[in-house]
Order: sequence, then structure tokens, then C-alpha cells
Amino acid sequence: MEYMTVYDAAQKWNISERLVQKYCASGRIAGAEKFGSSWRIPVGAEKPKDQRREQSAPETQGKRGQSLSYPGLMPLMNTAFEPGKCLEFIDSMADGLEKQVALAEYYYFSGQPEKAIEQTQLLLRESDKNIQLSACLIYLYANLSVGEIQRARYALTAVQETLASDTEKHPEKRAVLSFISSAAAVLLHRPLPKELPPTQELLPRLPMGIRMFALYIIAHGVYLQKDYQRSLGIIEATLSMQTEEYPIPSIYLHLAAVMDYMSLKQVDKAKRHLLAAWELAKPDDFIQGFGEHHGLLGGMLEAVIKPEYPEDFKRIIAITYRFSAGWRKIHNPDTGHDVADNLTTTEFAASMLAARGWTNQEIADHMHISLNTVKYHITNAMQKLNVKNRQELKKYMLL
Amino acid sequence: MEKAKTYQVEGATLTIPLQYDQKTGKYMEVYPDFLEHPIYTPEGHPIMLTLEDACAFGEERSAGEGLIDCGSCRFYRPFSNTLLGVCGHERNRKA
Repeated sequence: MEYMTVYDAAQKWNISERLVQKYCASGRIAGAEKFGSSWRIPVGAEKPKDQRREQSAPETQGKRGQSLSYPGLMPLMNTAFEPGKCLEFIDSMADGLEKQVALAEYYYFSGQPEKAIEQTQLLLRESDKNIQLSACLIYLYANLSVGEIQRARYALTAVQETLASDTEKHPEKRAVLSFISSAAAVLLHRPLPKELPPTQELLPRLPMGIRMFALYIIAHGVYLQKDYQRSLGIIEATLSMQTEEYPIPSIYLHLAAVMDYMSLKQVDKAKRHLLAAWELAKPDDFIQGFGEHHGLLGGMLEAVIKPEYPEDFKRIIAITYRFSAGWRKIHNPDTGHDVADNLTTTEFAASMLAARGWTNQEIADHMHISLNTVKYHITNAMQKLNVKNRQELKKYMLL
Repeated sequence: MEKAKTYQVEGATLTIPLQYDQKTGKYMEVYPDFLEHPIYTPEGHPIMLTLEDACAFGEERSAGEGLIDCGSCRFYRPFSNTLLGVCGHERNRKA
């Protein structure tokens, strides 16, 4: 068989040598073989196709109208696909690191953290930054879900070190680094790293699906500042601008809208967003986000999902317990906050609404439980937390 | 035998059952429904739970604090180390 060098292939396909090497390393060029520190490529090998283009995902345009490519960066999050076709999409990907990351995303978002950990642990020191950072992010949250805090901290530190030591001047790559760092910080309710560039510089440089998720992170951050209307503005604008359905970021955006609307006591609108999130999530079993956000959804899962989908509800609550226990172990010591521990999910949901000023009757009506049951849960929560009134409940309720 | 705790609240004797919570390793007080089955002090004031919804006669403790529940009402007298208290409003007093 006749071979060509990486340089020859780069010339022939009109791409950089680095990208050719990346294609070789991820197994996307049939017959390519490692040759010393480089690769030899069969002369007849075809240039790998852009996977996102094949999946009809829109391209991101650089400032000079240049098409940007982000192989390996949270490929599932960054892909528009029909709900229910997630595994089909992953199957269609060429074997390699990008596919491994996509599979890890699938495992994580469908509430299978152990498999997500298994899938990502060998990629944490991968030289390709997109792969490495994606793996770290998944590994971090998956380990929170199984209570492996040291491992979660390891991944968090790896992300922070990469950001701090980064000398990358390429703006698109800086944007990717910033996105991953924000995702690791904001969702744990930790302060944002100082090194991050301003949002307006970051967003236009991210591809569509990642940009949507970045906007979810921003909206979540704004929610934590209690600016619910602004958070909703970000969410509604993001959702209305998408030309194709990106299920993963859309689910998270809808869930953040539920948080905002519940804080504004606009239950009908919150319900609409919850159902929209559920419609996108159910076909692929993407239930992780529901479990992660339970505490902030103001009893909405109990009100809407529990009666219709009791088995799914049980699985979501199991995720909530596992995830929130891990989350608190990092959040509480790092921030000095004292988010409620030892409460059942129902106690937390009822107490959160009580702390927000809902009457017991309103909580009972919303959660479809009796007035006495509401009081039972809130008195239990107050005793466990040793607080004397609803005002004091607030500091334990992420409010 | 069921565990319980007895309180003397402004002359009224109350026995509150306790329930063990495995998660916290603590005994939790299980309060009766004071709205359905009111209990009064000898002076006719109703015993309430701190977290009962505020009634029409309630007034906030201090301006701007808000009136949500008995605990935030200036007529409510909380009893220490429990979520029990006494409503001191004349309009709620038993004739």
C-alpha cells in the first residue's frame, strides 16, 4: 500500500497538519498508521467529513466569516437531533474519542453516572483540549452523583489548572475554556474564575448547541442573583432563536425557566416550561437534569411529573438524593453557605415554597397534598434545621 | 411505649408524640392539627404552630418584615425549643 505524510494529506485536503493528526488519532482516517511521532496515511484515504454538518447542525461563523470547527467539545450537547434519536446519532458517529465523549454525555444525561465515569476517566489528561475539558466536566458531575467527592474535586482542579496555565491566544479556544470553567463553577454555585473573558466576547465564538448551554449557565447565574426577569429574558430569547432543536441545552433552559417562574409565583408558565422540558427529555430518557434541579423547581416535579409518571418520578428523586448529597459536599465548604442537608425531597420542596412566602394552603394546592401533610413536612424540616420561623428557613434553601 | 414530650404552655398541658428520624438520628415532634382540634390555655387563647398561615387579624412584628405565618405576627407568643406558641389576639380568644 502506498502512503502519504501528514503534510501531504494536509496539502491535499486543504486543512492544517494538526487537524490531520487529530483525525488520525481519533481513528477517523481508515488505514492511518502511527509512524514514529507522526502518521502515515493511505494515499487513497478520504478526507473525513464534518460530522456536525452531516447532522445538519448549523455552523458557527467566525468574525471573518470563517467556519469554525469544535470536534470533541460536548458533541451531544452541541448537536441538533430529533428527540428519541440520540443513540441513533451516536451510532452514526465514527469510532474515536469524540464518539466516546458523546456516549459519556448520553450516560450522564440519562442518569447513568457510573458508566459516564468509566467512559471519561481515561480522557482526563487527553492532549486534545476539547476532549479533555469535556471529559473533565462530565467526570466532575458524574462523580458528584455517586458521592465520589475527591474525584469530582480532581476534575474541577484539572479544569481550573487548564484555565490558569493556558497561554492559548486563539479566541475560539479561549471561549471553549471559559465555557467549561463557567459550567464547572456556576452550576456548583461557586464564584466564577477571575480569568474569564466577558460574556459578549465568549458567546459569539461558541457553536450553537454549546452557546445555548452557555446561555443557560448565564441565566442560572442571573437567577442566583435573584434577577428572575432578566434570567427569563435570556432563556426565552435563546429558545426562540434556535432554528433546530438542540435537546440537551433546551431541556436545561426550560428547567431554568421553571425556576424563574416559580420564584415569580407564575405557576402556569412554570408548568408549560416543565412540560416542554419533559417532552424533549422523555424519549431519550434524559432525566438527569430534572434530578439536579429538583430543589430549585419549587415542588413542580411533585405537582406535574409525579402523578403522571410515578416510576420516572422515583428515578428522578433517586438522582436528586445522590446528586445533591455530592453537590452539598463541595458547595457548602467552598462557599460557606449552609444548604439544607438531611431533608427529604418533599420536605425541601415544601420548605422552599414556605420560605418564599407561599401559604400552607397554596403549597398544598400546588403539590396536590393535604394541608396537614404540608405542615407535617415543614415542621419536620424546621426541626431538622433547628429554625424557628420561615424567615430563618431561607438561608438553607438556596434563596 | 410511644415516646412523647409534655409541655406546660401558659397553663395548658400538652403531650406531643415524638417520632424517630433515622436520617438525623433525632426525635421529631409530631404536632396535632390545632385548627381542626383547637386547644386553649386556661385564659382562652389558642395554642398554635409557628408555621400556621397568618389569619385576618394578624399584624407584622415590625414594619416591612411581612406577615406570612403566626411566627411573623406580633400577637403570637412562641414557646421556647418547640414550634408551639400562643395566639394572643383578643379576636381569636375563646369566649
